Amino acid sequence: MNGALLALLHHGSVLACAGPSALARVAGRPGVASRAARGAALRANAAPPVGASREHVGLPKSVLRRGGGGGDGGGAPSVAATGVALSGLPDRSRPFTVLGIETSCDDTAAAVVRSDGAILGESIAKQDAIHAQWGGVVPGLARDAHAAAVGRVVGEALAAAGLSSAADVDAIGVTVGPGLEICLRVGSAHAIELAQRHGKPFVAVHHLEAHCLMARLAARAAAPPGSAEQLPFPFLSLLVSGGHCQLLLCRGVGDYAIIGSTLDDALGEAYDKVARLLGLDVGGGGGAALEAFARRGNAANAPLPVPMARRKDTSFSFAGLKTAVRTRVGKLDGGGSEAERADLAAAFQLAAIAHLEQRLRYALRWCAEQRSAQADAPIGDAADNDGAARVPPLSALVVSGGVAANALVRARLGALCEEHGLAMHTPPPRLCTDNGVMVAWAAIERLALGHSDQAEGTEVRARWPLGAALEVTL
Amino acid sequence: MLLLAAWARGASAARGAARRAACRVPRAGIYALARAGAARADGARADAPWSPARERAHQTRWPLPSAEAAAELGRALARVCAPGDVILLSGEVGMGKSTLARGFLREMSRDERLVVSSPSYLLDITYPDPSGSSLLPGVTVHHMDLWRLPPGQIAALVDVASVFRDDVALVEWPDRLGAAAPDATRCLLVELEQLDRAEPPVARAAERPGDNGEGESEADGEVDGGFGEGEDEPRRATLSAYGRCWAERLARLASEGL
Repeated sequence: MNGALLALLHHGSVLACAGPSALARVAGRPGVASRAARGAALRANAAPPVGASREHVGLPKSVLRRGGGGGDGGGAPSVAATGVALSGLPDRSRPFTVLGIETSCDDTAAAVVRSDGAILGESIAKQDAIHAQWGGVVPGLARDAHAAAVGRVVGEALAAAGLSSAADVDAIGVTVGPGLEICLRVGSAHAIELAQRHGKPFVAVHHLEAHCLMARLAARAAAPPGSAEQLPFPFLSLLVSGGHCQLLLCRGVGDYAIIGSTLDDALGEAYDKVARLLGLDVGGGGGAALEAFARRGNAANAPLPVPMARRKDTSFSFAGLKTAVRTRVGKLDGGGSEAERADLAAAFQLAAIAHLEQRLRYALRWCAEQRSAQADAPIGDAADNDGAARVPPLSALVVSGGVAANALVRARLGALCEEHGLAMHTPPPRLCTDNGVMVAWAAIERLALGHSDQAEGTEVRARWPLGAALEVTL
Repeated sequence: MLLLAAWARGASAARGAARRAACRVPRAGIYALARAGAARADGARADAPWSPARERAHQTRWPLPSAEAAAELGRALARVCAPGDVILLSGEVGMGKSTLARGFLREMSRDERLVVSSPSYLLDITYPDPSGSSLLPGVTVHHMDLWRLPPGQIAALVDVASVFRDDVALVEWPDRLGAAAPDATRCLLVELEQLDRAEPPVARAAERPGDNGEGESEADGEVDGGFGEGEDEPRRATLSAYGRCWAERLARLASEGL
């Protein structure tokens, strides 16, 4: 465990984790793109971002805004609009602990995290290990194997935290979506049972919100104890992994908008598939193998075009690039010499990252346009009760997910951020994969703002958009 | 206009119901096959559709001169689909499996701008129909991709028995189904491969009847400009049916032309 984290002392503040400054921020100063983003979202026929009335954080609202059952509905429930504790709250006058459970896909993970950011214990079980144990899978046995894995992993996380049972934590959070339905159900059922049995506050967590908010935990952990909040809202979050390629505008807890997502492959997936096309040993991960191999090549010898170079929007696409590599390899004698393949690797990486950078550039330009449009709005507009105040700019760009470990990605996006006066956060890779820590932290952020969910009757959502998808064209 | 649209929806719902009635497979059959399949050490099933020993009831070949043609084939399949169908998409990386699936899902959902991203890591991306406005009202379509899994493991993560019985499934890399493979008679196997460069170029597939001529200048997911290499190299789809249901539909598709 990280000694620095354990050394963190609580500050005696009600919002020790989110920070009193965060409350002031959400109460007094609207998010950078809130008004224009509302307009954009309405044009996109999506539910308007509900973070608009930030001054109501903490006050009870009669209507819990949540996506309609069974369909795409709206995004994650906005804490800013609700602040309703349907299953109570832990004592927030001192640090409280949360058990987080994550079972949205292959892996089963749990962690115990304290509200000041200390990770007290965690555990993870990989699906392939379970599968190997059971051999050819029969459905009923698979479900039992899952349930056993959740129980075991939760027990291990609690034990690592020095706790004997879930009765010793202050609240329980679990991913209820999006993801694979039967996997989500196993974790969710276990968490609901624990919450009801021990009478604990319960938080239904959105998997992508957990990924986004985790960066705030990582920033807090990396900062000196007692320092101010390191990653305040609003910020941009670029999630690039095997399964995700999304650019999100994070305006507040529960208040996100999707600026761009992939039309086909995720970047990590493209890296992995191209690594295999080039015959690399992908044992330690295709992305890492490709990055290392590319260093030995020269992209100029086998140039590949940047995807969608003429499209001025913020969508990503990597499938065409992947297919182009496959075609080139097919044309080379015997799949090409090592030098030829290294050149292709370098060219792929250059084109993919140039594409990433171009999309981000467009996104930053669009955000700036929204900010200036908001600044130009007449004072006294009912939607902005503090129209005279300067609209705060984005605090940072967070780059997370497996691909964030790539040195060229960090270098190129780092330069882009410097150009725009933005801080860049790259959380530690081990926190970027699916884990229980991010779920526990997302629950902590919601609990700190006075939000909890009803455990009984909570349904999993295999499909669950995080927020409105903004129409971004320049 | 509204009346016509309502009539069309009602008609397609009726067609869907008729197809479902015609193609019902006894539930016991699927579980028996799964149990039998589980006994094999390597997880593969001797009667899986892609097994060379498996007799194909009907087979046709479709030229796919472009990515758009692959999408068009997907659209055509969506128009004849029924709950309980399993479309197996087989082919190497970059052959057009996801492009075909995208065409299928856009036609099924009646949304030409639907984003269909790759399930390679997420394994199963579902497309439910809560509003009842798709070609098969209320039916969920699963876009599955087994690329990163060992044979049979999908059954630990997705309730395949229920999915294959009640929903529509598009399965990429179906050889990884292993013991989880469904009854072959409900499967349509689509094998996508690149045409040998020695073969003469094939004519473009006919325009879809009813096309209003308004094409998208840049369809989502297609890259502009410089991807002439690879993206538009001709492919071929070989469609194989193993049961009466799909054999009849394939024959109809072949006679009507795409």
